[in-house]
Amino acid sequence: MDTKALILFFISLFNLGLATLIIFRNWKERVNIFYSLTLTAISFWSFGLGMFILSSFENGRFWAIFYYISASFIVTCFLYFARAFVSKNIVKTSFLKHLLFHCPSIAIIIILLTNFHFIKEYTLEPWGKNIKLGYFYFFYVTHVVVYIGYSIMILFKHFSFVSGIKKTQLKFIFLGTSIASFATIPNLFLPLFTYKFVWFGPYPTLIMIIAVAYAITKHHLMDIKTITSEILTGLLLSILFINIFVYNGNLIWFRLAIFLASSVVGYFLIKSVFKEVRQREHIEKLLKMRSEFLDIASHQLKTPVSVIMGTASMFKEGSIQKLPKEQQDKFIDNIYRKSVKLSGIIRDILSASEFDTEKFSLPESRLEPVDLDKFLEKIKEDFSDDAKEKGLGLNFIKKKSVIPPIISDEFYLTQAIVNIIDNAIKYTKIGKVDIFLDEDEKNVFVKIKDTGVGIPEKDKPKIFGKFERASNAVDMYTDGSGLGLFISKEIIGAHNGANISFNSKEGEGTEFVITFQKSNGKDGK
Amino acid sequence: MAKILLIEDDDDQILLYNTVFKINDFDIISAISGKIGLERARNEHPDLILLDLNMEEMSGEEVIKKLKENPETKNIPVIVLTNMDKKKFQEQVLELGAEYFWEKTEVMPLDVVKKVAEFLEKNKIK
Repeated sequence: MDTKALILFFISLFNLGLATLIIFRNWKERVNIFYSLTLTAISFWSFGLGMFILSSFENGRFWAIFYYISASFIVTCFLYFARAFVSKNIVKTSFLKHLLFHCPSIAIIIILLTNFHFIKEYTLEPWGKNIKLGYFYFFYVTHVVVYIGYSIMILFKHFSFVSGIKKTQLKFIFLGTSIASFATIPNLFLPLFTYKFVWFGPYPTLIMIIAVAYAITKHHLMDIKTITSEILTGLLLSILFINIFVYNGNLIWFRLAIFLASSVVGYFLIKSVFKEVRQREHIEKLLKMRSEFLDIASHQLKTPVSVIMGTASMFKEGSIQKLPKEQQDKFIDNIYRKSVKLSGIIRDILSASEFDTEKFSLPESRLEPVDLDKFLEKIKEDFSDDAKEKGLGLNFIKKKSVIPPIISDEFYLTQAIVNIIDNAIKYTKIGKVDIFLDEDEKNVFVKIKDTGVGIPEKDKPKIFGKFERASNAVDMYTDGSGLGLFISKEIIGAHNGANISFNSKEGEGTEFVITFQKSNGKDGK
Repeated sequence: MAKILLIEDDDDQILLYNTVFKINDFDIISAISGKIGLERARNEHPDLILLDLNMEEMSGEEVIKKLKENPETKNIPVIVLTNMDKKKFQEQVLELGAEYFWEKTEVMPLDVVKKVAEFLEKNKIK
């Protein structure tokens, strides 16, 4: 077999392998999609050139057309990739613009298929197949140079805007692509004089592949972390695959079988590596969450403890006893209130770890009908001091009709609703907090609506998460545990057919809606 | 009489430190937020500032930065008195220009007074 062609097939396989790897890692990410498409097009181009060398004279022309079209798609896909890489948020490209981007490729397909001044002469020389190119080849050259140049320019301009890991990633893509492109340029013009070296075209793409693969290995480009095992598997499979065709002989079935068996083994190998990586990432995330939680928890616990300790120490050394009776009482009251707060924090932390271990369920033996009207009235009373202190209105607004009781456990239900009202008051600077009790035929609704800071759009998906706090909440009130809403959701979720949701607009306020299914006299669980 | 400014967002702590400093013949004023604290530092020229780190709206770190930026306040010594983790924050606030980092659960109120008195004595402030 021709060595030049063999290497071209290798390059083709490498590109295809890398393309598969990138697309499979995250097929929803546009950067991955377009880079993968670029590599696939390179793979086709390489394959086409290899086949051009190997094929019979009659088929050569077909393969030439094939690799010119592929090459045109390479640059188009790369342009899309560059655009996607620099703008992470999806910019809607109009249909017209898409059409414009694809225009040169479409033109080239038409030119090639109609044989219009592109491949002028096709002959067989002693050194191989020869093509004399016509004027429309210049159109192709312009297309390639402009597209690659423009893409590299976009990436280069973006270079100064990025920092950290993305800069390192970009550096590799940029360097790899630039070197590969510059090395390819002579090959765009050389065929005008002699077609002898046309096969060299895809070789420089190896530089790009190596650069990108290195970026992936070292810097997790495109979020790929297991490339070493994949490259080894890919390499082995490529060798085995080519091995099937290289030698003629009776053993082709045997070689095919070996290839297939290795593919299966390789697949499972890569899959198991993936699994391990995912597990490790999960553990790392848990560890990080735990250490963040310990930081928050230790600060939260220390705040009341420091007041209790400080006050007690002053009693101990006798300075408080010198103060008038009312002032002494104030200190005792402080100790008491901070102890209550402390026990609340401890309860929250313990509840959170309780909810953590398994799916939480309400204690069966303690379930009882809860009259939400009375229940919410009492909670409102408990919070009235807090609201008054902040100058906020706190209202309980209920429908006139008698709302049927729900089956619940008062201890947990209190915790669930108190957490939400507590947040509403905490994160509202001016205005009011309204608690609504309402019903329809099937459900009872408890709504807690505030005129507070609201939840930023980006924090909405994780707001019920454990240890999660909205970014504006962290700015305002520094010692929240990030457990409140997590606990509320777990408790509400343990009620049969109940759920909790929210509407919120940053800067305007938040409304939490808890929906309980009417129990119809049956047990709520 | 040396004048101390306490910047602290917890009422109970303010009461505690107010009392212990007053008993020990200090003039102590307090501020419930970083913003008010900066204002009082500018207008009332305290001899020393006791500063909490973890506060709403403006953190203690920001308060130190602002104090040190302003020529009127940059020479007022700042001592950080907080519940934040020493290992994580001490270096940072000392770099910003704080004199000491004291943890509220480590240094009891009366010891805070004693140490403040020592510091003022050593630096010949009033």
